[in-house]
Amino acid sequence: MNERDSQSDVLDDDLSHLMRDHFSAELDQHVGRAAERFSMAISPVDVAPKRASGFSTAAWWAAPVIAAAAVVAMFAAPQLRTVVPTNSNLNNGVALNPIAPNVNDSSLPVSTNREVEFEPQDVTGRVTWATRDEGQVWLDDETPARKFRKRQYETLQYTDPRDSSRIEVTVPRDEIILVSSPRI
Amino acid sequence: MDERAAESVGLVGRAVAGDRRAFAQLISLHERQALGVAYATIGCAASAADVVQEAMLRAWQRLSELDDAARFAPWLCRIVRNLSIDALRRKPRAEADAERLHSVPAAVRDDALEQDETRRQINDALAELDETTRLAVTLRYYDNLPSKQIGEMIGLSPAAVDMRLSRARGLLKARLSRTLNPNELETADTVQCSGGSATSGGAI
Repeated sequence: MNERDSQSDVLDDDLSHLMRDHFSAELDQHVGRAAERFSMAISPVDVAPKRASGFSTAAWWAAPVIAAAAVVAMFAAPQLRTVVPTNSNLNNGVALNPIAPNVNDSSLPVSTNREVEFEPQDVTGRVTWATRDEGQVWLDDETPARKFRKRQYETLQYTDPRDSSRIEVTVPRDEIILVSSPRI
Repeated sequence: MDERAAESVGLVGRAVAGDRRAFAQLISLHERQALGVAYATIGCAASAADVVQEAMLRAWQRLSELDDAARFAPWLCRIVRNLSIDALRRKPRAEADAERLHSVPAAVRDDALEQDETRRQINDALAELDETTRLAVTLRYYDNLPSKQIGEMIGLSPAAVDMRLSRARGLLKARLSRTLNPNELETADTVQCSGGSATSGGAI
């Protein structure tokens, strides 16, 4: 092997490294997404290979459902905003809970059970939420939609006057909002 | 038949019978190939990933149409390629590149400039290859596939694949010589400067 061949081999190796690194850097981050999407899209009872391809029979109801979900989302989002009182001391997205019990409100239901009957004191509450775009999903095999997940925590804090203990109750809630995407 | 192919055949059999887990394993086994095929066609990794996801769902729906379990990889490759071409029609290559560039956060843009330049050079060099050769290059370097399997996937004989790979290597080496061998270029620059000085010296 002469010097030129040897140089060529070195260059081949360098090229191999360069190309492998390039493809790995570009594509490795996406490995695993297809399996994840498949698991999300195909329900446990779905036996797709035996089903006819093309437009699914389930698709007729999908569009109205998506449209309804979108309408609900459109109305729900402003409502959630409006119930949160403005308070400059509070962080963005964190507010006093307007639905938390008011100690001065005589209309609050009072338990008839003597064991647990008490008047909670220093009641505060807050609602925090975050909405995340989880990308495109397929409602069935042919109907695309945008999936948003609204994760909400309602936290209620109060003092039990019987033993002066401070109680905090947090109720988590996940809401999935599907907004129809134009069919490709 | 190598180990991977044998595993694939077994999984296809189970998947055709409705075993979703087997098909999920099949996805894992062939995802790199599929990504390579889509990326070679589209030229944008994010779009390629979207296409592969769609292709896998489509493959699941149409698995009953697959005649020979041993031909799953070429069959999947064809689905990925067709969907990639569709995606390319909707969003041309240049547009996808621009979108990808804008998706890089501003804070890391400066640090990534050099890497991005190398990436751009490689992408430009790959774009000069015809699609079939680019597919062969991507499958060889990304999934380390032998020429025989590449040939089965793109409909060429192993010898034809080798020939295309050899030609592609030549072109890539020429286009990427600056990236591959920066020292050599520095030496060349130095020689030129020295030569310039010597000439000046001679004139004095």
